[in-house]
Amino acid sequence: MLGKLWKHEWKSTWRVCCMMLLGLALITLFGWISFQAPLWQSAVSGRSYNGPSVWDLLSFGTLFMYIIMLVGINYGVFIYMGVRFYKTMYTDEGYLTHTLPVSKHQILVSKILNSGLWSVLMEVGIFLSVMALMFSMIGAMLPEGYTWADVWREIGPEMDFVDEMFLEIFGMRVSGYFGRMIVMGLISPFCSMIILFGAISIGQLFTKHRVLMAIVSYVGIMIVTSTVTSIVQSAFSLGQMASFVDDNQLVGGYVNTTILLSLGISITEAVILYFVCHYVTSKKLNME
Amino acid sequence: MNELVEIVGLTKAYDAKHVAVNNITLTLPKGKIIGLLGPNGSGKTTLIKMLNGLLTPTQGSIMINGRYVGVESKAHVAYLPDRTYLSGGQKIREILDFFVDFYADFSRDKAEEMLRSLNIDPETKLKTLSKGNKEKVQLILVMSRNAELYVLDEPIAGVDPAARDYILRTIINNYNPDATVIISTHLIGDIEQVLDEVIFMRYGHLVLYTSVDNIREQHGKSVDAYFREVFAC
Repeated sequence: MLGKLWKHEWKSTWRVCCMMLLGLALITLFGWISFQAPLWQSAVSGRSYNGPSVWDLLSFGTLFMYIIMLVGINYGVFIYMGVRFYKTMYTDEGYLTHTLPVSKHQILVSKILNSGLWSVLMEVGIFLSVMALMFSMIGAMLPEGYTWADVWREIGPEMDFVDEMFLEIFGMRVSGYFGRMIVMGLISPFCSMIILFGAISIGQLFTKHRVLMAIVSYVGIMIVTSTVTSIVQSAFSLGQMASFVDDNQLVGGYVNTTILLSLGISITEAVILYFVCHYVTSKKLNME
Repeated sequence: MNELVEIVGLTKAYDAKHVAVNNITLTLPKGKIIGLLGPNGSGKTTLIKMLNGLLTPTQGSIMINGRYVGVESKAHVAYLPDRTYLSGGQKIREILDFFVDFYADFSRDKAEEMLRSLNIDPETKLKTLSKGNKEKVQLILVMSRNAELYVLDEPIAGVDPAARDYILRTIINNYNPDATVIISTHLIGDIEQVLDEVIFMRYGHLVLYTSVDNIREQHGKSVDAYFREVFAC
């Protein structure tokens, strides 16, 4: 039944999510084109520049819109999945969801898998978009006669140095560091969705203003998260200051602690709030 | 064992002042069409929601064919709520796919035949249908199941008399004869002819549970007339 639930979740959400990815592809294309403006081409390369043109203004405008839309898409999928969870669980559509012959775990897991997976896909899309724009910008700024082959030839020998630097600061090579970031990038969206669903479910425990109480719950969870993270992080940092010998190690230790601590707290919160969701839907369900 | 639904000491209190269903004990047999009758606020919908696992009882228990309300019971209960519970953006064909996937007792052929008789194209999106046709589509979905218990909450409220006739005909012609149908309504006169038994509720209490024949024989009145007498303001 879990597979069937997931299949229908996917069928209900893929159109909107694909529209968001399509929107992302379009604004990336516009962003790419905007870096072909004379302003960028003259910024570093030393090519002649005759003051701002309409093309340059359009380029700035497009990039500004790009940033706004990137943020919008990033939060868009999060809000869309939250609204969908609320609609299908706690409004009229919930009458169908909760009368299906499936367990509450199956319902929740299907929604978490679907929303988490779309968040990951959106993250990948945003990463590729930013990389595309970065390459477009660097390409536009390359000095005349300088090619990408020249760039790679110069960067290549420096990679060993970067690798050593990462090993010294973070205690791991570049590949290990980015591998960890990828693992985090895969886990975090699922945790974020569970935390959101948990807040929405907590809102259902109130007899009135359930949407407002869901928002208040979410803000409350975020405040508690920041407070706990800061306290634990301070404690770790004090310990590290005492044990590390140089500044690089101190910075690396701080970054490592922050990353792992945030992930640990997110996972802990997600586990707790998953069981809150399950408790509310199985023991405290009160469809109006 | 002719009992299908066993309700024992069932109470639903939203808070100390609002007790929607108050200590109801009731056993319903198989193979009957039962009217759940009562004025607004009598607790009919609350009772129905608890039968379907949409509300958690404050006290008491419900068993449907020997199973507590849960995953198992939901596979055998066909529920028509008093609202549209389907997503308007979906095509009817997609909703049929959904019911085929989740309800082993759902007959797609039967549903498509009923849709054809109403000239409703399965490729139509639900939101483009009129209110009456939306309700008919929901009823078709429910009555295309070969369930043990059909629970219909206000199935004829808010529709024109012709649609009422269609709905009642659909219920009578399509329910599994071994199953029990619970119909909640205020429009007693319209459904009286199809009922075997009635439950009267008031302020969350069970006032009466008896057969329609019994009311006619003992009181010499129709159910509608007797209801008006019992619930006279």
